Amino acid sequence: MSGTNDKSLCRLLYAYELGLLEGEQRDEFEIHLLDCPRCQKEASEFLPSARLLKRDAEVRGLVEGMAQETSSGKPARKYYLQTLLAIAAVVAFLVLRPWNLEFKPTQEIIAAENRLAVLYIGNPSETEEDLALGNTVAGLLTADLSESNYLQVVSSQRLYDAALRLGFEEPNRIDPSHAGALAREVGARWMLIAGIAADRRERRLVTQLFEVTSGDIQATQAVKMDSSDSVFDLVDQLSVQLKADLGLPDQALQEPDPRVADVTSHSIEAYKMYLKGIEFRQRMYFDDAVNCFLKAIAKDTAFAMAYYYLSLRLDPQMIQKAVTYSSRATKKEQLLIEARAAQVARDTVTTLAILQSITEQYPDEKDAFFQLGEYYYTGGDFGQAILYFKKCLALDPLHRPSYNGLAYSYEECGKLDSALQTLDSYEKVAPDEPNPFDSRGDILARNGRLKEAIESYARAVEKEPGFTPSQIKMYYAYLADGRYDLAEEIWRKWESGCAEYGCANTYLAKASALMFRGRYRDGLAWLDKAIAADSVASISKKSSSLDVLYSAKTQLLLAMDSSAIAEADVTIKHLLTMRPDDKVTYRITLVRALMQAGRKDNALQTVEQIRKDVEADNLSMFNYWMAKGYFELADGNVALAAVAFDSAASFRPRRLAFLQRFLQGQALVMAGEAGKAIEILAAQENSFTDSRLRDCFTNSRIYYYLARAYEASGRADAAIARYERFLSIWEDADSDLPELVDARARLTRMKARP
Amino acid sequence: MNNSDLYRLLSSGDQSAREQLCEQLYVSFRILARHRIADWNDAEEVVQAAMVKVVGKLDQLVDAERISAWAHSILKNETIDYYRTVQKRRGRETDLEDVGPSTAGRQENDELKARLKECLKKMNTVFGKHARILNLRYQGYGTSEICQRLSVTPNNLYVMLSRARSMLKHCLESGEIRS
Repeated sequence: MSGTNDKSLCRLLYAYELGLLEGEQRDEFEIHLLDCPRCQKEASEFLPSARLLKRDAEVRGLVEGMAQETSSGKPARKYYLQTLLAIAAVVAFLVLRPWNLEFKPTQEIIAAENRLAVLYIGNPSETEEDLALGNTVAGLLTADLSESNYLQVVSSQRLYDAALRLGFEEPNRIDPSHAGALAREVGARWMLIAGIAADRRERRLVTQLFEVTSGDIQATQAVKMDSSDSVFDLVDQLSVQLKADLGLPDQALQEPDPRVADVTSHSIEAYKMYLKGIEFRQRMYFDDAVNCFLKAIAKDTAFAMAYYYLSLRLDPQMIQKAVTYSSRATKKEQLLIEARAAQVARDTVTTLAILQSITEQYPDEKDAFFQLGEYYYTGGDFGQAILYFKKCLALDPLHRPSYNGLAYSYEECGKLDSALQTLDSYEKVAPDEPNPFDSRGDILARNGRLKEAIESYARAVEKEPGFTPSQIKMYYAYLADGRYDLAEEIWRKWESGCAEYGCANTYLAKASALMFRGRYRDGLAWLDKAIAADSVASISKKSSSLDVLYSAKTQLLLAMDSSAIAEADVTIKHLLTMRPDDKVTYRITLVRALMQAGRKDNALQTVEQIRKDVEADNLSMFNYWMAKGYFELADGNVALAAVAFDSAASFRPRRLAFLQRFLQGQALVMAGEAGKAIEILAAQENSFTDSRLRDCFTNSRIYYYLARAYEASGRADAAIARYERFLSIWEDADSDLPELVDARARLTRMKARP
Repeated sequence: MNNSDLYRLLSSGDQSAREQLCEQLYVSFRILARHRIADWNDAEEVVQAAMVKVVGKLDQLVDAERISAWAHSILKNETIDYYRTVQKRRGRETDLEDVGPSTAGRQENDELKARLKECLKKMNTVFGKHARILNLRYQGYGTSEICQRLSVTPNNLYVMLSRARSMLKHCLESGEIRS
């Protein structure tokens, strides 16, 4: 037997009085009662009532009747709204009593499910201060209770998403009549509703714990709130008692229970600002969210999660601060911080492992599912990407980025219909946003439906006239579709407004249009203008990067004639000066320039150095294969070049591999492997990916090499069509370009054949 | 002061401790006996008999820590003797604890009964499980069976009952249900 002075035995009093205790347990309690003045007093006072309950026929008859009515299926009255509206009355009663912590525990738990939703129910007449305080308490309770290994607490994000899905106007201020529906929507077994009731003298926090299915109130607590500084202590006390109310195992009451301030913030003002930032983030007002998080860290310089969210939107390196202070975050938040730190460090393996761990431990964490979807998409595992985007959507059917990712993933798998249907759903949840139409344009363009793609881009711009991504894509799509006048119209609008933000990008767009049409000299002039403009506006985030401009210029120079080599050499050196730490990217261009200058040995050395550097730094072999391909192509080893470019293409998803496939096809044509060349180039011909549309130096030349492949295969009609198309695009091209001269000659010959 | 401490004082010669200890035991015995025995008068007789034995053997106890358990065993034995006597008189088997309707003893306070019934009705609107538990008890189910039917653990059941008792007591005192 346990010690008879054990106060836990006091709870057996009513069971004893009703005759429910038997044998040793009854003896134990009776011995306890002999030594417990409290139980003696209670038992003595209640004795007459207890005897009536046990023995009186009338009382028994009444109880039997009530019990049968309840078990006959008549639903117990749901008291959500009635009880909540009566909070004021309850509190009024409580206010009359001396200050104390009222503890009315009861619990009924089915062992497997301990899922709890914490809601703050405001009232229209409350002050903004009380609303903020109430939400703060709800947030702190959620954070504190989430630390328990015996509870699953629904996250505020999940509640917000569910409220949106249910069509509640104010997802962050729940009407009492909606609380039950919200709790059911998130699959909660328990719902803790908090409210602040105030009169002239004092304020009290009133909480009620409901079982969601029955609507029974399990426990009520009311605590006087004397100052904001006691909020953390109040939450600590409440969470301990809540665990008891929920009837969690004894181990739950003995597990480590850190103070809530130690896993959030010690500054209530910082925490309020943080919650405000979370709310803005939920509503996708990211700039406002950033401002709030900045204010939070101004008040608490060790606020780990504020740094975490700032690392997502403002500066990735802020994650280091989050890591430094991560001990002051909840267990889930520590994992989020770890995952983000690994992501910033480009440690994909670790990032994926942690994200998957998060989804296993916290199945409500939609962001983890979404990030996994993005990682798998980027990594080219589109099947897994689809899986994770769908899981995110299962948690939040209004999650727009997941629709976007899912559509692209389907397209990559060749499931165009599924991709378009997903975009239909995306449009329904975001009818006023341009992105669904922009994404639709991309997917249609990739599948050869260029005119429809342009229409979708146009609709995106209608939705939001300043939506640059669609404007740019329309511009390049018009070029590819031969509608140069419409592309020029767009360009004129850019030019008229570019003075404010810098014209480098605008001039680059003009240069691109000229390169597309074979007008390299004019294109070079506009690139020089773009470089000059960028030098002036180099601090503007809107300007193009100088290295991109120099790279484009070098490419043009190398495609022109040998007199341009010296100038190419200058630009390459300029590139290398700007990027002294870059070991691979611009050295590929150097290989090309060295080969064109006849400096084969130097070129080969550079290729081998690239190989050593990528192996030493464990980088992708993509850059080596590109350098190798250019070397072999220039050296006349076209078969080897084709193999190298094929290897390079294998490192990229289909949508980003246009240049590599073009170069592979080009090499195959030169190698006389017409059939294989057709296979490679034809697959690219009608796929207007973004990387193709913007690669104006290569985009139009695909028709020339495809024509050559068809010609070599004896497919004259197909060859002629492509030559004509190429020459149509290059109608006004620089007259001495080798490909132009050759195409004209071949077309003339082919047409001359009987 | 608890019984063990009083006994230690008593053992050191403190007579007031003896009186206080006997008073405490007597109060407790009456509660226990009235829970075990339906008839008030019979309960009182059992208590008196048990107290006589406690007082007579108090000096023979060696372990002060066991005073409460020792006293309880005396009361329990007296109660058992009482039921054996009742069985012999009535010629039938009865449970040690009679939970059936009272057939003898003091009349309960009618006013208390009326208040109790009213409170039970009010309670049922906010806490229907209380009636269910009582009803199951009336039907003879024990704690483990009641727990099975309600799908709760014994610990949960006790806490529910604790809450119900508090609610009922408050209602009996004030006439109101406190949610």
